[in-house]
Amino acid sequence: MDVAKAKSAFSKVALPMGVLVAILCAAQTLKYFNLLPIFVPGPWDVVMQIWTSPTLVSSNVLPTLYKASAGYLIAAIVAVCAGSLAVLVRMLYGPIYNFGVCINSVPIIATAPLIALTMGNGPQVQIAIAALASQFPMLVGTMQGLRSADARQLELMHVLSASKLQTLRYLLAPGALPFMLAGFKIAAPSAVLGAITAEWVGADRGIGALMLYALFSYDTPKVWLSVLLTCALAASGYGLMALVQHYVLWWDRDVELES
Amino acid sequence: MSKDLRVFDVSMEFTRRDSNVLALDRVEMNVPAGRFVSIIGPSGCGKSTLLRLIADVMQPSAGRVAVGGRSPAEARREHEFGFVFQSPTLLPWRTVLQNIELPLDIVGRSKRPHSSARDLIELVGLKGFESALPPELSGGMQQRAAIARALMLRPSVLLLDEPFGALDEITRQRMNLELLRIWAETGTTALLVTHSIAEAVFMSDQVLVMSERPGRITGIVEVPLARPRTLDMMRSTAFFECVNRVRDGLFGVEAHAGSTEHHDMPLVVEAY
Repeated sequence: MDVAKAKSAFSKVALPMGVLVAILCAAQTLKYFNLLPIFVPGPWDVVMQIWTSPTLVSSNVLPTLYKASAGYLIAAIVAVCAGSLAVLVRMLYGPIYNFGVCINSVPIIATAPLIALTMGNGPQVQIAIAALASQFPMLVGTMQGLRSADARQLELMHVLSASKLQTLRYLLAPGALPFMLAGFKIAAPSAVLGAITAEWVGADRGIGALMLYALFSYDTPKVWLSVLLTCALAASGYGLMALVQHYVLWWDRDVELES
Repeated sequence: MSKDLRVFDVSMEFTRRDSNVLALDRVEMNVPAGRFVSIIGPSGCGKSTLLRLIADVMQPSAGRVAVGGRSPAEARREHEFGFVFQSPTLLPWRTVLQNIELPLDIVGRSKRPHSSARDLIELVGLKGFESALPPELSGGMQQRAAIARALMLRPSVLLLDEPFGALDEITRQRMNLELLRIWAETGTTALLVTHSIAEAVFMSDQVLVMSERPGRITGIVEVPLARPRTLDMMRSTAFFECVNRVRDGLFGVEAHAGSTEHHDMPLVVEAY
């Protein structure tokens, strides 16, 4: 490995890891000398939570993972369909976009009880809210992506007498993919956060439920553990989609979503 | 197999906001089968529009276009056109080979006689770059791929919309020579839109001069140079005479007033 590569690997992995370890050590030291506020536990106490009750983690992470993924999947399907319809039928473009904006602007914490009232008390509430919370970037990505072909490319397909379906297959769909995947990536953490927020309103299992119980019993290490698990889950969703993006988009195009 | 192109009294009007803009005004044109004809004119004179009317990308407001006696729509459905745009317009997710084979994917490989992609790649000098992605190629190489794609279905009419406008002078000169060689080998009718006088004269059997908007054909210059064309011909008196006649057609009296009658002094003529 040459020097430049080693340097870049160092600055990408070793440096952030080093900073993280330094901060954790500093926090632990401060806690040892009782210099941290009462509601900030030492990092070690948080880690010990996982050690002492491993089922606590798995029994709460898995339900949230399931609800967030289910909601995300539903949102993806609906967003891609609605986005395609918006591009296909010009009259619907504005209304569909505005509808997406409206849903995206609604505060989850207020709508969750309302949805629970209509949908009953179960995972379906959290799934629905995860879907509502994550739909917008996927909708924007689909709408923007399907319109990203330029006039020349469309003329080319026309001169070749390509059918609508062929134009979609050979030009529009591959052209839309970078935008859609960018939207899918941004939406993944939103689905996790949506599911967890919805769990506050009524769920007996899940990171949100763990968070709520811990808060009410003043168990600060567990509160921090739930925060840690939330971050981990949201970040892995993002990371997974980034990986998909990396491997699907071999032609390497950086796109920016406008929202 | 090549087809002749005829344009009868074609006008084109665009609606921009509230006003109507007349882009083409009763254009008459006749390109015999197998010939190389250029259209030259100032920017915005409607020459690209004319090309799009022939290729059935747009419909004329008035008049009629015939390709080998048939309508442009029929000719397009029969894949008679090869169209090369100003920008290469390659699909970035397809390799060079896949881009060149795009017409085959659309028409179906068995449906129509077509050239072999390998032969075409050789013809345009892209051997060894079959699996490269478009962004990895230079502008000139991308445009070669676009030309190969246009030739894939053995079109009877090749429409070229300022294909080398974005290339540097040296590449452009080389591409011109290659295009002539390819054209001679394929034997199609070629219609080139350009705003370079020397390019128009060097490439064509006939140069059509267009006026500023509304576009009209104001002059026809026959080019008596032999084929195959060589770069040496660009020094001949016949070449310069044609260049001057095209320039006269473009600028009318202004050209005369400026440079007087020094037609026998090639040195005052800038090639491009």
